[in-house]
Amino acid sequence: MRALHRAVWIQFTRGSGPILTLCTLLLIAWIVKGMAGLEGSFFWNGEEVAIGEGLRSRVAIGFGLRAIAWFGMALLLFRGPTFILAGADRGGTPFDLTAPISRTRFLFGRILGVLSVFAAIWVAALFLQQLFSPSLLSSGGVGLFRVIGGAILLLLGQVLLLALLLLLRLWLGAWGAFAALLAWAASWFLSLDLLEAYLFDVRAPAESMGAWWYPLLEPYLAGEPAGFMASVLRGFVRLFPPIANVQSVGIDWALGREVFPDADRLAVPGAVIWSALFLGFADRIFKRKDL
Amino acid sequence: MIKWSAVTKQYGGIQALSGLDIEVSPGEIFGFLGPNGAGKTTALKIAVGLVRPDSGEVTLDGVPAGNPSSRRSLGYLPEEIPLPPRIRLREWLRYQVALRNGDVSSIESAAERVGLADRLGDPAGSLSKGMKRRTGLLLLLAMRPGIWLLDEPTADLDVAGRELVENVLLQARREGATLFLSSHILSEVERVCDRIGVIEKGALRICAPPADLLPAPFILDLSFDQWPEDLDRSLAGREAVITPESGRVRVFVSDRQDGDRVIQSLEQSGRAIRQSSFRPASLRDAMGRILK
Repeated sequence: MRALHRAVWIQFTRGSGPILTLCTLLLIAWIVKGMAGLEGSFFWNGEEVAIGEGLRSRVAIGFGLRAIAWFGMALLLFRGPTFILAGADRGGTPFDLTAPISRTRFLFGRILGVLSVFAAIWVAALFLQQLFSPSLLSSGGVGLFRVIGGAILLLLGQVLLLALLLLLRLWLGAWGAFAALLAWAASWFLSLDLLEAYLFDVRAPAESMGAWWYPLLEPYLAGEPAGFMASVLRGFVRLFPPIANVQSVGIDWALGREVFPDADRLAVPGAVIWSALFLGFADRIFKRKDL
Repeated sequence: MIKWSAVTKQYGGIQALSGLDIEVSPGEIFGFLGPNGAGKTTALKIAVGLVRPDSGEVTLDGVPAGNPSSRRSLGYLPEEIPLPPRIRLREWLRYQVALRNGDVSSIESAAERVGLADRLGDPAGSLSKGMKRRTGLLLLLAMRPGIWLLDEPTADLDVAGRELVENVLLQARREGATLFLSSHILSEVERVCDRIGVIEKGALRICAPPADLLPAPFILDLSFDQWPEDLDRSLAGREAVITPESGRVRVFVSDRQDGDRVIQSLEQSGRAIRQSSFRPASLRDAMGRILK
């Protein structure tokens, strides 16, 4: 198991992974720093929301964590299944499977390896966030418990995407990976609060969304649910597919703020259930596959 | 011990294996021969657990091949060693040995033996084909498995490399290992194997020691000015490999006098022989006869 885990790290470090990760984290930090210095603000629900400095710098920090989540997802899309089924086409995985290990153990050993790589990225990102948040948030840093909880949820979103990618790769081959890309895009699309505002009328009416940048910031703004049925419907949407939503909860946790919208909480058990199902099916297909 | 019992496998509409039965005992080297697409690789892949048979069973030391514990003492050398290009050779070997519960410290001495000691720190992608093959052998030497399954072990190797492989195989046999090798290099199979199995269209055509595959120890090689149509009848029941497309006939004979008798008989029946030669029979001749 340790060998499988280590193999993923070797693959990651021998490729362009560390340099790409470092450059991306630095770029995101630079953008967040720039945003934190912005003095712009806008009104929402009668409340003034600042983009940058001070108490209301949640937009800047929220963007940082979300950007890292996007980066992680992109890394998974392009490299995730390759990390797990390394060189499957060239005989790498089949050769590894001639060792005295079961296919299930191989699959989950490699998945743990990939997750440890992403956990390391999140630890670095959240460490930076903890380091800078006292100067950005006048209320000070966020409790360690919430940061760790947020990190676990952010990782859960990646587990779900990885499980989906694996299942489709094993089931449908390269076209499966393409389908996963579409699923992921659809996930982000469905998770947009803006879309929900139109679908369920829980957010601002369209006429108040004048500025071009407003939709970009809108997911970070406060709002009130329109009613019980709207909450139920939104909860349903957020259960499928909950990749983006569970990460939104993770970001809210890591930043020490209330989970918004509240219906996102439903995405957490949803992500666990979907991940278990996808991984279970992927394992089942992998065990029966002739290599 | 490796045992294939009535193994069948079908890919789509193609019957890759149809009732394969082979048993290889400890201390034996078994050579597995056959034309391309005969089912050799499928038989090997079922034995290492990569492919599931439709029916029948393969066991390694009594444990069914699909069971991970059957691979505890298995050493497998595929036709192509899948070395990731960016990883250093030592790292890849450590990973593989650890994955197979082997002793990582034995890598260095095994590398000395196969002549790769000074390449362990190099990226695996920089190795030549022959060196990659030596890497596979290195892994087997580091593992010292009880069962060796080898697919074309000497492909891409130079003369020294082939000698090295032969020595390693013979040493493993002396140590009591069970060795099963698939190869197209007949001279090598003939030299090292105790028994040879020939597979064609998924079924075992013959299984015997190399000497028993030859109906007679010598070959009379004949070519004709004009191809005789009813040559079969003229040879009157003698074992021969007749290849009209190359204009040659190889007749198995017991000695030179027996060869002379064949020539005499053909000339008496009006066949104009252009050229004749006499030589010891080889496994290539036996294969030609079995797969004719």
